[in-house]
Order: sequence, then structure tokens, then C-alpha cells
Amino acid sequence: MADPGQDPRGGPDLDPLWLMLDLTPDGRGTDWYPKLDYGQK
Amino acid sequence: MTGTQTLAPALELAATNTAHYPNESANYRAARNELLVEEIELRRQLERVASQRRALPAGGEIPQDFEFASESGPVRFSSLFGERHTLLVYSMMYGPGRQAPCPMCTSFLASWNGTAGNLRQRVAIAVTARSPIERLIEFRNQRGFTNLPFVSDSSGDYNRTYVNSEDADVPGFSVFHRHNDVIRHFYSGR
Repeated sequence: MADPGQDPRGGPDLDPLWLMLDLTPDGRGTDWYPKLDYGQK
Repeated sequence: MTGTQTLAPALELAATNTAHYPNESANYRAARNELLVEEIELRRQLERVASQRRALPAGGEIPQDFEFASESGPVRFSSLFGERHTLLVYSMMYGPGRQAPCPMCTSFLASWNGTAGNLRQRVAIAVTARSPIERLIEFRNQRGFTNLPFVSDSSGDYNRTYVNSEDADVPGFSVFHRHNDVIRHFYSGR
């Protein structure tokens, strides 16, 4: 269940990606999502 | 923290839950919805804590640009950032005196390796340990942790500064931030 402006998620999240981003100065961000593929590095 | 006061009470949000599963009792449904209230509160607390962490004052500047051994030779701490301005460092329990890598560190790294492709779009990551780089690369290849950059803290300088002042073989997790070529400690788990 989500609060306004959020994607539905649990507490804690199932995906450790978000937990790791919670430990950073920039946080999860508001408009970034994982992609299937990021192309060539 | 800001915003929390304007959120609907968790009880109210939980009451909008319409999920039901086959053959569940009324007793189960009532208890599950009570649990949902707690889960909503927990999620909100996680968000408050993350927000409080982001609001920390600037951390201390790193005392030296630590040297590590990488697969391709010596590297400096500053180079571990690559193009990112945030660096997450996991220090695993795999010192030269340890016969086998720590199973719990290895479990964490399996998870980290899995999400590293996404995570590294946002931040840089590195795994350090006190064993020689050859041993760490062998471990990496054996476990298939190919998304994780391993470096050996062969001098122990980083370990003594950010993991354990006695240079003990213990796990550690720290986050660093680079701004205008100044690298500061942001956060460490305790």
C-alpha cells in the first residue's frame, strides 16, 4: 500500500536495491526506475 | 520528519485493503489487516530514518586517498568512484588468516551482485577484504560475483580507519560522497 506520490511497496522492501539507495545521500530519487538493459557500458 | 503529519493514519489506509484469499477465516482477515497497519507504520519509519540519514551534516573528509590492490594493479580510493559521486564500500570478513570466506558476508554479496547492475547506475560500489587480491579474485570467480569490483586492502589502512581500529577481520559497510574532488565519509552502519 502506498502513500500519495509513491509506488506501492512494503515495509521493508523486498528488493534490496531500494534499501541500498536509502543509505545514500541522494536516496531513491523520485523519477528513477531500474531498466531491463542499460546498453553498452 | 516533514510530511508525516499530513499522511492518512495507517489504520485508515489499511482499511482500504480489499484483498481476500480462498477459504480464509474472518479471524485471519482481521489479524492480517491489523498486521498491515504495523507494516504501513514500519514502511513510514524506514522512510523517516532514510530522510534523517540524508539530512546528516557533512561527514569528515577522508584522511588519505587509500591504496588498494585491484585485479589490474594498485588503485586509489578516489578511483573507485568512477563516474559516480557516491561510493558504497562493503568490507567482508575474509582476512588472510581465515580459511574460508565468511558465509554471511557471502550471502550478502550474492544479493549485492544480483542487484549491482541496477545499483551501479546510481552509485559506485566496491568490496574490500584484507586477503591478497589473487585470493579475492578466486573467490569472486568461484561464486560468480562478476558484477562486484573487489579490491584488497593489503595495507589495512582503510580497514583500521573505517572498519575496525584494531584491524580485526570484521564486516563493515560505509558510504562516501565526492563533491568538487573532496571525498567525505557520509555514513557507516554500526
